[in-house]
Amino acid sequence: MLAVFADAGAQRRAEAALRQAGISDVARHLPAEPREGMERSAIPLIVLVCGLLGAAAGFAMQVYATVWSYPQNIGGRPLFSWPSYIPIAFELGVLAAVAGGFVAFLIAAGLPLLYSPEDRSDLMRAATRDGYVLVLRPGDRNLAWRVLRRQDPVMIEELPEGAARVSHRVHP
Amino acid sequence: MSALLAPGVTAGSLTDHVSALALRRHAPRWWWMAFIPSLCLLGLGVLAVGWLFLAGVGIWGIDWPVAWGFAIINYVWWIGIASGGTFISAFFFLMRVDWRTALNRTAESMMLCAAASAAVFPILHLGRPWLFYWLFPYPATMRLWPQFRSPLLWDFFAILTYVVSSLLFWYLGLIPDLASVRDRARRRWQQVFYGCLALGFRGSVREWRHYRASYGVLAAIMAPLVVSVHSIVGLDFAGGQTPGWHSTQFPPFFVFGAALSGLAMVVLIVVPLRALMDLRRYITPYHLDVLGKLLLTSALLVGYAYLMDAFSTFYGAESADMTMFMDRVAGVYAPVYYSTLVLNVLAPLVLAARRLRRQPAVLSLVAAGTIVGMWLERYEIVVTSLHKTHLPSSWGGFTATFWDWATLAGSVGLFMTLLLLILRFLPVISVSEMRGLLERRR
Repeated sequence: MLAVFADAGAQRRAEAALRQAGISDVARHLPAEPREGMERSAIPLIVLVCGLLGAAAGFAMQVYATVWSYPQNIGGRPLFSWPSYIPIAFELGVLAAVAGGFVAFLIAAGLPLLYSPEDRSDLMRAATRDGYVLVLRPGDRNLAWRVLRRQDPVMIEELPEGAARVSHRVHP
Repeated sequence: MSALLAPGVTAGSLTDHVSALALRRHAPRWWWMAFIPSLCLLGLGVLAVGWLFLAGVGIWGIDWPVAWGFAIINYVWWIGIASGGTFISAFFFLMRVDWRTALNRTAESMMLCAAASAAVFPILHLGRPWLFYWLFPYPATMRLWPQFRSPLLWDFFAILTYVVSSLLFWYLGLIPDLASVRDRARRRWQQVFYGCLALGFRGSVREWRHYRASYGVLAAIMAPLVVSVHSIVGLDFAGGQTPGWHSTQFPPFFVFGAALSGLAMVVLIVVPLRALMDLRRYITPYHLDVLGKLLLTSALLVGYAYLMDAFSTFYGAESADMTMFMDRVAGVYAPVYYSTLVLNVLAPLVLAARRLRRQPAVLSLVAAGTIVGMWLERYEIVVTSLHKTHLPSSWGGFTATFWDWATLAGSVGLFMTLLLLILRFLPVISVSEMRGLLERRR
């Protein structure tokens, strides 16, 4: 079942009402990032770890190459010339951090996900425009109808089980 | 509110407008009028590069002592322009300024295209470009490693990181907008094309949560990255013993120049786009005012760097440095030096007047001047320094050939072609961020 609301407040109130009625499988879809009620994401930590590992690996590679694998005596200068390793270590750290952050985002957000059953409804399209959509999978559909109607939605749609596109839609 | 957005703009109207721009069936006439010449320039560039691969770098004007010519000038110029995009999209994101929202997509797209144009030149400059993979530290059968102590190799890693990071940052920011376009698409190929690119983003709380976190942290990384990239470009020069290059002020000097040329390019793109794509409701005179102030600030920073360049030459009192500097201000290349001063420092001073700053024509003219001026600045740095080095017996001049100019024109063609394709098929304004801005202001 899908229900569209005109603003984020109405959507949140409806979600709370559904949960109070015992319907817990509810997902909110919004056109812009929610201003409140977002849990912290672990991605910054993952990015930090990737960055540090990338920088350490880059530094270690340069040390190995210049001290052990191919030592060059250039006018008696030290083989372990660590200041000159810093730029490449930094750049490789950044590269690992950015790539790690991007991959972590995809995994954490469950993307790519090119099809999901609720896509059968046109109401989903409102969530990328100006609609605030609730997607729910209630055990008792009649109960969900009763709760949602009281929450002043713009539109409610009930999708049948399976792949059929026939649906029952109302404008309360 | 009235300053940042025209009255009457809603999340729905904004989304429909920007999506329709990407989805329209036929490109407007102005687009073709820009695209065909761009494609011709790109063709000329392909020809020049093809001839370069066959004949070698001898077709260019480079020779001893001026062995770095247009390839390096163009590279530094383009990478500087790219940096300006990152300044707008990353720095001002971190500072949470609202005016950035309408501009950041243009700035990021510009950054990506300029970085692509820049990345071509170091490869061409290698002389034997088919051996470019020698720059990678890979386990070679010759058991050789690249020279990790050289700024030129640092630069390779810096460009690699910058191009990959710019692409990922740009694409990440684009995902919610691609989803908006996907959901408005009517024709089958568009649904499939934008559907695949949007990766199935549906605006769920879970997606937004991780999206927000990763975009924020990537912006926080891009900001120091762009400073490091341009500092390393400065070190390419400062690492050499050449008079006029061997200076500790080069890294910040190059970062200032990058900010100036990049902001100027954003102005040059945004001003016509406002009119051509009817974006005046979102990119208001307030935005032009901010860009004008930024342009003025970075011009003053560049002016300071020029002043310090002159000061440190005489304060250091090294004879070769002083000879080179006197040659710069009174020698054969002196017109280049004075054009640089006029275009990059003096002309932008008119932007101090608010009335002039808010005139799109004045702003564009100054911006175009600084784009040319920054190219001349790199010409001055590369050519003037190399043509009179420490040994008077090895002094010599530099004259660009047709193929030098053709390669420069080709890089402009590559930039314009990529940018026009992006403007044609992708959302030109960050719609999801604008929707967030509208909601915050409600």
